[in-house]
Amino acid sequence: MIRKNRLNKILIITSLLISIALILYSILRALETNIDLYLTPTQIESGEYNTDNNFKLGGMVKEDSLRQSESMEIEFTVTDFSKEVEVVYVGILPNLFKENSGVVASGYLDKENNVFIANEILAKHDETYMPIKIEVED
Amino acid sequence: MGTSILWFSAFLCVLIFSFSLQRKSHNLAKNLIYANLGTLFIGALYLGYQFLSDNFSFVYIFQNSNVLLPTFYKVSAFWAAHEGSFFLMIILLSSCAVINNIAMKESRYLSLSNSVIAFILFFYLIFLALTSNPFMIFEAAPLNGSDLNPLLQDPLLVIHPPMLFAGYVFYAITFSFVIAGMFTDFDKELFSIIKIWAGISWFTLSLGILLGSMWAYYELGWGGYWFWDPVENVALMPWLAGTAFTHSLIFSKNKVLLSWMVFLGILTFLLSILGSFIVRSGILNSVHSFASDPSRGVFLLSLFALFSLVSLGAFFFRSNFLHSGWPKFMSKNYLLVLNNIILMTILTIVFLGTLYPIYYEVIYSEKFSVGPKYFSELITPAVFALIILFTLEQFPKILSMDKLKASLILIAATAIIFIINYFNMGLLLSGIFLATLILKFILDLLNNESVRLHKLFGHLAVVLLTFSVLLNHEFSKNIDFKIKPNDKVEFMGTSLIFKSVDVVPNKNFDSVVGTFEVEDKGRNFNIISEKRVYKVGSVITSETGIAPYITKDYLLVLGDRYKDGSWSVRYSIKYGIMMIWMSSCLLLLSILYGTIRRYDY
Repeated sequence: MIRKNRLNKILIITSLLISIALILYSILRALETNIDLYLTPTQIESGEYNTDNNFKLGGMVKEDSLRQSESMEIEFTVTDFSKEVEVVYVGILPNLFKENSGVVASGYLDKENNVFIANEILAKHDETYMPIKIEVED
Repeated sequence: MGTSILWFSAFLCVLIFSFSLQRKSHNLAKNLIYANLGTLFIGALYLGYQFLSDNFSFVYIFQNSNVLLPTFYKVSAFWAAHEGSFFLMIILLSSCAVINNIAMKESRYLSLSNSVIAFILFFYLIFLALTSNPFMIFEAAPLNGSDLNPLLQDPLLVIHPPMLFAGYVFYAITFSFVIAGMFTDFDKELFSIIKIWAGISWFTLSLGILLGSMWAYYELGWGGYWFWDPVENVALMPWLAGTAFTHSLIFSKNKVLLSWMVFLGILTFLLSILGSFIVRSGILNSVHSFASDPSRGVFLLSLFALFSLVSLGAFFFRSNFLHSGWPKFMSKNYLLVLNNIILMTILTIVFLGTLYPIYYEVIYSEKFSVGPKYFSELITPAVFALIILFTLEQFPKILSMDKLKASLILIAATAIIFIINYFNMGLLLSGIFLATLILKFILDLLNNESVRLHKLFGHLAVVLLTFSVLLNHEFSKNIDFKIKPNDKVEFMGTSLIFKSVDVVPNKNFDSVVGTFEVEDKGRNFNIISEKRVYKVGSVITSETGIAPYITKDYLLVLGDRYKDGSWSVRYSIKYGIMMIWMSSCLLLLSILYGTIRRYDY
């Protein structure tokens, strides 16, 4: 009787360990495939990062760069104070979007025209939901 | 004066802690608990009075209030930011200790629980006084405050954070009794105490999360209710652990896997600390802001480490004394253990998805975010596994079959999950389960069998919630366009007319009000969408115009004005939102009913 109990316990523990390993494996694999890189204009230009797929572009909206055409197309420049990237977006901008404050655009890089085509714009905010001012790094 | 109140209260906590551990001085400790609440209450009244009298020499009041702010929000500004909400949490925790002492005078677990609570309170108070003191004063008082964040000027957000914090606090109380049981023993009396507190905590935390979700939907104007944002995830983690904990109470009553239940009780508390700290400390949103104020972050982390070490250390040393058995294969308890395993899996998914980016950024200083697809892809099959489990549990005849057949059913269930996941048939499947559960319920009622209402409705609510979430995900659509007043747009079989746009001044903001008329298959109604510009700081917020109906919501967001007089507008049709709120409310009611019923268990 005791032996049978022990065998049962061993079975339960090994099957638990195997399922934990499987679960962890699938979680990590899903993590890998669903990562959105977050790049600054300097990082994009450096060519060290994969910019073939969708990614997130982060930086500051350059002063006086916002152009709103009569269609719903919006263009602006994202800068990190050393390099710049042109962004094109069609749609409504979030309320926290402002020139000279932080922005995160997700989309892809159109390498022929060298513009970033955004399909979503998020104005960056901190935990108090106020627009963030990005500090200039020396 | 305020700061000395905090230090005095911390001193009282040391006394309560040491007196509670000695049998002779139990009564003294109890009286000190009352005194402690009184002290903190005076502190709260003092701070509240300063808010109402616009005393901007307090840094905290300067940051979160303004002369123009309506009185209602002046009161709620008390807990609008980190310092005040933490103070409120401390007051709640000590009130709960008082309630315990009034409600159960002679319980032998009480003094141990008291000392655990005093231990937690002591460190919270030290943290508050040293790094987030709401009573800090300017040397020269400013004339006016910088205003409460406009996004927080919303009735839902007045009650959402305290509700969430109350949930965390109640889990701390539950935790204190779990620890008390670990050092004495788990008997019927303790189980009923833990059940009541676990139920109350579960209810409050769920309500807090639901209110936050509603606020996001109505106020943020993106038409979503859940974004898998780190701030949301840290509130979801203790909820998942708490859900597993409440279910584990059912099987551990028969001493099955008792130490697992204890572990979950500890885990829930630790995750709630992680949540309550992380949300306000800015660790998650940006590692840089964490570095800019290192004292707070470091203090929080060491506090978390201390609580983890003490509680998990105690758990490992004491767990030998907790006699635990294994459940029988395919018994009701066995299914409950499976439920716990799945809930823990979901918890791991959320945990890794939330904290891995932070870990990576700290180590490699590269930023990335985990997309919502990661969460939905992994969690959807897990939720279906849960639904299959509790539906199976409704049919005891299937479960009492021999081992071979039962394991075949389990394997078949796993296969079903993989198939729906592959073919994207979740909506259909959740519909089938919904129908099965309702049919079974009606049959049981007709056969006069006893039905546990809270369990049945709770589970029904989960299936309905899954169904509505999938419905929303599959069919909701939106469109952005430019429109002039009196123009008409057709979208998804509905027509939209932009009737008028007006400017309306208010006490602390000016608003642009757009009126739209929607016609959908003979149904005719107006939607009013607003854009507010706040006078202090000129922050702009949108008040989304929403027309809610049972199956779908119509949403309108007013964008920008163009030179030719036209406006950009986002028009969305969202399915199942009302059903999501209704099923969540049904779940809440079931939790509440179950908690009350258990009172005389």
